[in-house]
Amino acid sequence: MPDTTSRAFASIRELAADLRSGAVTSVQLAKYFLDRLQKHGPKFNAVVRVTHDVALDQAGQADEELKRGQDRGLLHGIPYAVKDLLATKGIPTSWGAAPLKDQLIDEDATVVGRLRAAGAVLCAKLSMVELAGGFGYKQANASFTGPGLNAWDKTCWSGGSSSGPGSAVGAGLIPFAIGSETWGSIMTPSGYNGIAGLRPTYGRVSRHGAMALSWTMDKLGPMCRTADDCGLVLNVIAGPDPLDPTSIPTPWTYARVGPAKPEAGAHRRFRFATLDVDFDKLEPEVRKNYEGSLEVLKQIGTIDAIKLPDLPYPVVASTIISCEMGAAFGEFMTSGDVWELSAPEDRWGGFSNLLIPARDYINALRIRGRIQKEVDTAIKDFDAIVTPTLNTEAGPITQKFTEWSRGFVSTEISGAANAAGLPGITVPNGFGARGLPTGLEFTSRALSENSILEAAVAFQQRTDWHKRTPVIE
Amino acid sequence: MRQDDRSRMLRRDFTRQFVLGAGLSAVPLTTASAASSDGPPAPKLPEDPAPVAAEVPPEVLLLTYLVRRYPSDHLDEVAIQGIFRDIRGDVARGRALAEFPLRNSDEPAFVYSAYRAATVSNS
Repeated sequence: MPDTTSRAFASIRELAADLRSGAVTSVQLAKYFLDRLQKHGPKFNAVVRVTHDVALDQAGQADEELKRGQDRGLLHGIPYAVKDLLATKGIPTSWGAAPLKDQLIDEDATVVGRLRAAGAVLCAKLSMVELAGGFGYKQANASFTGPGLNAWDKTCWSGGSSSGPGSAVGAGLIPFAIGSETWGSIMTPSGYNGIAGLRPTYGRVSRHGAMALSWTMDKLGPMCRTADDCGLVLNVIAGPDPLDPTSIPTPWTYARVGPAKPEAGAHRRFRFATLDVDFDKLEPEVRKNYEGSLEVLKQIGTIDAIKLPDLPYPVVASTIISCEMGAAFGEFMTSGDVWELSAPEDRWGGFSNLLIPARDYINALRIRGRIQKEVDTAIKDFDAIVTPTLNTEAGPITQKFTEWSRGFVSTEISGAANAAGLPGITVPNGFGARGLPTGLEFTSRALSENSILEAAVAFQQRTDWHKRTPVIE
Repeated sequence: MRQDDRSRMLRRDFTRQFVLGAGLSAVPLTTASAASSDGPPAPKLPEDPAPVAAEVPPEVLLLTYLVRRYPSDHLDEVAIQGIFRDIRGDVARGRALAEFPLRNSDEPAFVYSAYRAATVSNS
């Protein structure tokens, strides 16, 4: 058995090269990561279910195909996991909720099917905040698997709602995972665990087979070791899907897919923009890391300060989510199932959504149209808007978020981007005072995933924060 | 009386007192469950609704509707207070939305288009 220890934190390209050189087989990789998931997953409350038999079957097939010369691409034979809101044929899908922990949706989500077709190996379904956090949880203990624990410090939160993907990828339990974001659920756990997390343009990735919290706000995206890995995974899962009428009808290709490309940004200068950051909200180390990141970006581009249009982003985003969630989960609430949720505040936190007038929802959608146009105009001349991902490093699981998070974000970009369906990516950019990761976020116009990926790859080629790894006992 | 029963009584009492204490004694809303198979009876309207509307905040009316529409023994003090805070937030959010200057031509960003199933032609 080859030594696979160093592979816990390897990138997809490194693992793919090892598979093709014969240094390791897919079955060996699968066994290695299955063992890590089983051994360490419970320490982080990161795993709902290890899919042992499925993984070994798929890995065996991948090895046979690669041996025959049938190469499905860079994800062929690579282990992965999904947030447990993606349906998987024959495997329960809990949505993180105790009353649904044995729910069986007996089909594969489109994303799962595409990853299987690319030869990737499903090793686990990962923990999440119950019902993707739509019921207003206010502290970490909001899942039937317990509070998500941070890869760098198990006394601190992993972030949510894609808590399991955040800590599992951060702790090297799996090379990559699929998460989801309605408003912050990929960025937050990716930022707190020091990994790369990509929120695609709304509709870039089919939502078919994913739990619906908010039909017009939900996005699925990759959570990986590096920005380049995010591009490789998105390259497989993106694209039109007749089963999701909101999927973007044009295919998408990662600009750096295939053999190694020249240094990102080598032949161009990026145009970055910054926003008015509320520095009072940032922990000093977060500010310092952000300012240090801007110095790195100045090596590869220009940075202009801009302002977003004065529009009610959080009001619009929260109204849309509340109303759609109230419809999606009305029966769940009124049937009484809701009272079995783990977080006490989640048990009643959705009820007021049953009362919001239709006029408010429609007006929120009308203002959303204005947001889409005016924000696009404001940022169209830039490759990426650059902001701190979060205001603090992850806080203790024993405290309410209000006691340590400083409101989570310091600019309006999070609300604006999610209301308008804009893509974003976070990558690690340093550490806080307690030794937990901090992050840098790139946001761009709709359909511009390649712009932010190129910028994030260029940043990671000039920094080594993504190569730092936590000690997993 | 078992402990469970006592707890339920306390919760019901609390809900009733919260609603009454919030000034709803003058609001003769129907108490029938809307889930009744016979359908809800027509509400008795107050003789002069204007003073009631002026006195009772909309948040309280909404809360009253909610606890009567979806009665539950789980609705204890913490839940009722939490829902009430949420309703106040929702009402404030609705005001903010209403204050935003929209033109008649500002269409909702709906995801909707005409639909017609694909058909196979025999000709």
